[in-house]
Amino acid sequence: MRPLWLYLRSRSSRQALLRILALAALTWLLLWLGEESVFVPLLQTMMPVAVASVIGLSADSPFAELEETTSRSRVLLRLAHLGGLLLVAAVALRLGDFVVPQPGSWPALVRNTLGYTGLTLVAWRLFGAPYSWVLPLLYASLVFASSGAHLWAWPLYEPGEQEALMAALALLGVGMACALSPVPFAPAQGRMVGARIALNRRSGRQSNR
Amino acid sequence: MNGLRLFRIEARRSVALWLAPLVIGAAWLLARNDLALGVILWPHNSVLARDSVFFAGPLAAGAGAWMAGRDRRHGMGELLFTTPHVRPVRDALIWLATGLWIVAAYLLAGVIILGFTALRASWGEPVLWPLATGFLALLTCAALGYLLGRTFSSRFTAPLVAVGVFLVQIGVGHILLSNWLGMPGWLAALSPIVPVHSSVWYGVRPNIGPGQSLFFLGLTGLILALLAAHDVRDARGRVAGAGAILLPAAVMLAGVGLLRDVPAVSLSETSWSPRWSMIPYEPVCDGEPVAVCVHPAYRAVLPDLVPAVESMTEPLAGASGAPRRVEQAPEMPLNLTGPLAGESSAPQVIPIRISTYTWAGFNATYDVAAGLVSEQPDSRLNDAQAAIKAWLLRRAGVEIDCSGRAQVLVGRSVFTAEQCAAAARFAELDGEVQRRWFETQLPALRKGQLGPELLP
Repeated sequence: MRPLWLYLRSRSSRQALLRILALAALTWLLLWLGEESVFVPLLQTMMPVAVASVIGLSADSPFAELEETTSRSRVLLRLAHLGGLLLVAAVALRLGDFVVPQPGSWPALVRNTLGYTGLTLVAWRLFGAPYSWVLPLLYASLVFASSGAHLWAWPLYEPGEQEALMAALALLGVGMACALSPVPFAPAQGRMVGARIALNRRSGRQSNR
Repeated sequence: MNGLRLFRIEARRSVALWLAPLVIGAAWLLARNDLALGVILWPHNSVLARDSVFFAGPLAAGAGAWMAGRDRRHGMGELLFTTPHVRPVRDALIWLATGLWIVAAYLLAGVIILGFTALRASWGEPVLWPLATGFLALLTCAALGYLLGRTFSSRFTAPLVAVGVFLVQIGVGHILLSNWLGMPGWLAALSPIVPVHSSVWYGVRPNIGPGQSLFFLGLTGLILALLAAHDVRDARGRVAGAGAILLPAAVMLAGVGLLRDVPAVSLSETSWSPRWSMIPYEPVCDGEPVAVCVHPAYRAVLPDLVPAVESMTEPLAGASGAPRRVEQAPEMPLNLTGPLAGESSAPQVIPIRISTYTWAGFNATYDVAAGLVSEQPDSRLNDAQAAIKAWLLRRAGVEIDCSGRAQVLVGRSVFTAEQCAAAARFAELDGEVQRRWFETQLPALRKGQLGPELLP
């Protein structure tokens, strides 16, 4: 139990949990206040991005490189951590149906949270924690700006649409695979840091990092 | 270390450096459909250049928040207290370095859009105030993000600030327009992405550029003053800080005052008629026997539109009550919903919409088909009208959807299977039989008095 507890503490899990619950409550409140046609798709598209970003950033740890040297596998720890946060987020959002009955909104919110979390974890693995929220945010912006008539705009689909659910689950699967894999932490981030150092050297100045 | 050198170092270390290419890429994705249209118009694309703020604003805010909390997250906060630079100067330089990367990307995307427009535009002239207000709004977003990142220094702050800015700018810019919770509609102009009218009939209206510029300038100054006041400890500093806050607050309020005077435009008032005078124009017409007339800016759609209209009107030629003219209706300001402006009361003139948001000919063809089968084309069609409309659209080469599902996919019209079957039966009739049927039944069909059982 102690490794799990330490693992969760090193990932700021308590703060992440509080923020997820606060975001779910804010979603309840905004859906209760707004009946506008713009309001529901807006929340359906963007609130899951916020929840997913919190989960994605929580996956990061300052001790990640040190942890790589341990002999014990951390796959189960990562699964418990990310799966637990996702479960809490899904339940908290789904409970909104009892507070603000809006058939259709809440299943879509849960589905989009799963999909965006997958996207965030892919971005986390590729670009590192500082940039992990950028990809889902940009994607969601483009989805919201679109008419919703394209398959890539699955977050705007009705909850009953199987294609949208499959797209979200596929993204979550890829994201979880990225997060659970033992590949060294954020190789692309290393390349970006390398490019930045090269940029600094070219200008003849010492790197400030 | 002088300020310029510190600025250069911060600019190189900024997280926004890596966001700049993303801003340009996303701006291209957002604008590419509009730039691929056959009709390129200055009023529309002047606003399009500003619309990158839609996602660049949240990114600027998120980057600002991330940069503000960087030193403390890395445990360098106390170390940096020992540097000779005062904290407000360092804050201002980090904010500027972060904001300017996003602004540079935004301006580059804007220059690409406007440059393309300069080469291809068929009407109007550049309007630069939307681009300028977007520029100021991005600096404001970066400053707001920086202030929040400085106040709540956590790894979770950046994405939450970015999503928050996204929600606020959409909420204020779009939802307040409909007087949500009884709030005045002019408040929507406080959002950098508030929809403004950008048609060739009225130009880019209303001109909220001066008001918005003053508002964003004042708000940025206010945020920077609050940041500076954050570290003030002595009484003299507090007095100076209060003075520094008053000036930008006054500028901001002046901007709000200007925006309040802008004529209220509300989405809920769909019959709202603009107080602006229409820019005079002479329609250009083509086609026989039914003339197709459009605004000269849309002349390029005529070669596609006229054959489509002719293929639909040809079987109706000579029938009593058949429309004689198809005319493009002026777009209403903030044409996001609802009825056509300038809708003609004469039943023999079909008003058509040519939207810059979809393929130019699609809406028009759809409107013509609806106008041929009904005297009230915007109202719900009965089964007989829908069946003939489906047949007409197929004649014009428009792909139709017979699934009956209540959704309209791009480039498709949705009909029920029964309506499509009736259209197919009608299509199998001889041309002369179809013509005779229209001669006797067209007036009743257009009035909606014909049931599906009366279709041949």
